[in-house]
Amino acid sequence: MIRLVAGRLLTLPLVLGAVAVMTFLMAAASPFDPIRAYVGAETVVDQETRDHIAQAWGLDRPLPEQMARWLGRLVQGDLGRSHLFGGQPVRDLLLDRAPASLLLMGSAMALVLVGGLVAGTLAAAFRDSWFDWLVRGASHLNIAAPSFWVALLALYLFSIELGWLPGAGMSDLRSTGAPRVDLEHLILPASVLAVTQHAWFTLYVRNTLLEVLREDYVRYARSHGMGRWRIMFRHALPNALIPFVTLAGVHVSELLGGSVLIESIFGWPGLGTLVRDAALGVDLPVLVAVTLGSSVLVVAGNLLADVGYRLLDPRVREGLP
Amino acid sequence: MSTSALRVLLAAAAVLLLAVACGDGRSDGGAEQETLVIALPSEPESLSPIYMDFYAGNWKVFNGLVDYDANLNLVPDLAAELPQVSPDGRTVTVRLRPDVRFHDGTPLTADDVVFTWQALLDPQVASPLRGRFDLANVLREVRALDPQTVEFSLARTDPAFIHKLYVGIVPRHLLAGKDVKSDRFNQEPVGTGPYVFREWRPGERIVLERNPDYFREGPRIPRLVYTFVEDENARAALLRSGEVDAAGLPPRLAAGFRDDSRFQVVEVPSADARVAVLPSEDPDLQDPRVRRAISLAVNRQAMVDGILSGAGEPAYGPFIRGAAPPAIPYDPDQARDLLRQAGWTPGSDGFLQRDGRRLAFTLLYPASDSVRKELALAVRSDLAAVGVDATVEGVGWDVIYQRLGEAGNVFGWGQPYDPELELWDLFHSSLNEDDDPLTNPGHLRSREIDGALEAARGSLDPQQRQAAYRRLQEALQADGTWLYLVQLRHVVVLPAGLTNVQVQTEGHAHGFSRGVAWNIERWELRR
Repeated sequence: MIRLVAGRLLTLPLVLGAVAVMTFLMAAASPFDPIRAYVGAETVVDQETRDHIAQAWGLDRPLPEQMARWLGRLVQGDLGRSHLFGGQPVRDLLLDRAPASLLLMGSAMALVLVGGLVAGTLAAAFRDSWFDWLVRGASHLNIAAPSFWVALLALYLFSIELGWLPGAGMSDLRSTGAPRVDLEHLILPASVLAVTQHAWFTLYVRNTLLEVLREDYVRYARSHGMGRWRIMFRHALPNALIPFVTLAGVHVSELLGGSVLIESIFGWPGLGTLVRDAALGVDLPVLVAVTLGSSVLVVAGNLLADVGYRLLDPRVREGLP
Repeated sequence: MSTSALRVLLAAAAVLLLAVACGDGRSDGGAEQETLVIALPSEPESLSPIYMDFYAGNWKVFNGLVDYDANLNLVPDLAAELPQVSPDGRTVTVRLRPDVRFHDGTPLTADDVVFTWQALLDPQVASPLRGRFDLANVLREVRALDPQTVEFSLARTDPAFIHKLYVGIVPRHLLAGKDVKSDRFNQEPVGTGPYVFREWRPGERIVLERNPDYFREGPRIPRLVYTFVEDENARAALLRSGEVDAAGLPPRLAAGFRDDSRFQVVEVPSADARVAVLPSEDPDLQDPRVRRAISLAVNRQAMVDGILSGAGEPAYGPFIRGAAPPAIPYDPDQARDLLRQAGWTPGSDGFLQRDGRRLAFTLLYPASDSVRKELALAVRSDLAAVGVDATVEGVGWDVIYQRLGEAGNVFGWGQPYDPELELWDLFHSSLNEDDDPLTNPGHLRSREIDGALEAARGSLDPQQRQAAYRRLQEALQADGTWLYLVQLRHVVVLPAGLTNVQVQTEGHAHGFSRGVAWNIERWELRR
């Protein structure tokens, strides 16, 4: 176990280095023009001003040099400055935005895990019942429906028609005082993010449980008169959960991607909107830092999944086939 | 047993949902009466006037030396009276009001004005305004004659220079010796304006509060909260739910608020035109008769009535005060005649042909803009009626920059202030050698157009300049590469209880901008 964790942590710098290089190369290949983004669309800018802006921000340097400078600063713990967002240090930008994103993604993840587990288990237990059909129907609909559409629908229904929940920002826009997060402001974006991400989770739980329920040892237990729920909770679920844990780890990256649109519709001040603006403006320091940050998240998610896998599955733990 | 267990679980879930839903709605704090929440379509990147769009102007944290009144006449703002221009046009002297203080209590002096303008001129500061104002060629020196007087020495006469003095003045004592382009000041500005910057929660809100020591009558609304909602449907939803008080919307979405007694819908006249710039490299469009025929064949009034829901006017040229372009009739028959004279005859497929080639071109539009998409489609169907085959494609801006010339594009341009601030860059042939795709995007090479622009730039006499701009309008129509379609009215939804709203003609803008907010410090809010 220790060797696994240590090994992963040792390869982390390699993964991050590769990701950083890839991000630089992709930004270089992209057709987006950072100077155009700096002055704004449909704003005329003469050649001399272009040159000066490029020079002032170091955008006129060849890419390897930009990369080397960036690395040099990174070693000193400096993530650089964003040229798009008024020259702010990238570290501050990320620290400003990360808590809101982690809160949103964490809540959505919790909803996905709990909701998917409950709905999937019930659907498997009452296979082909109306509830099973409901869960499967909703999941398939969910995969087909674009997330911004679901978000607008939820905003319309719960904010306007029913007036139950607010739909903008982390707290009442009229409120004064220190920044805070109101629970009621979290509910809509977290639920919509969870709803748009839960489908294949729920279906996965249901299908895996059904498979496990067909296994010989389950039939054996049933033939010995063991009750349905006891089989489910004692035997089927723990076995089905093993791959489920892995998926949850990998799912972190999906959530991160899904949160971009949700954040911009609900005015949630997280990393999503920052990433979108940085990508459109080819704000390399921000882009690379966010990509690296999310790579760390994904690597951590995978590592947790592997560790969880070992704890749950004795075959893996003991190195058995 | 099994179905009852399911029922119990579902009931528990329902109770949980209800508990969440019934939880306290919105907290009605005392602040509500005193706060106006405004939704912008995008978050500013910086609040420093050195990096902001010249036309935005709805951040009332700063004042410029001059400002515009309701009818767009130049009036003194930080200046004690309008700037004095020397007879040769090379020296502009500004005397400052003696009673102005920055929000931190420091008095405004000529040093602050000198610092601001030297920063704009400094290439290392990388202000986009340096290029837009052509400062490298215009401004030779700016210096303080005494603590209340500033003198600008110009390298050439510039009839628009006093309009450029609209840029907000920043405090020297907070920025001197700092890296202006990345200083914290860009996020936490200190100005002289009617509103004081309070806080910026990135991605969520910017809060301004009344300046109790403003040098004029202070604002009536104590607190302004700006939030950022990119999606226009989401903006409409937040207006309806009451979380947001004011926002700009496309005409069709705004129409839904006209019979809602909680709101008033305001139309802001603008110089913001939608123009199809025709492909300059298309050999078939080189013939001016073909371009004239295209202009006669588009039904501009139908575009205003249908696509803009009436919120606009037909456009025949750039908006220039005192030099309106002559109207172009909608006359498809004359268009067909002109095309026949140019040698094009109807083919078997209904489209015009010459030497076995069809009269066709491609018109792009930025895919994210629904109004431009509909305008492009209207151009396509109007032209199809006279036998011209226009293919329409929605793409991203970066594709537009690459394909411009080989294809046309639907642009949005126009500003109501001094024409010199924009038109030279859009039309003058000297910019063809420039790398930037947006300088002279139609690749015009017209001696008449160049001559009119140069005459207008070279003169300080308003009458001579107007005559030059009238020649420019005629030359642009004779050339026909710039197919002006419509001029928008920007539509803004405001609370019904808001009074003293007075609109001002504005330029190309997005959402809630200068045209409605220019006198926001005079607004009163009764709920």
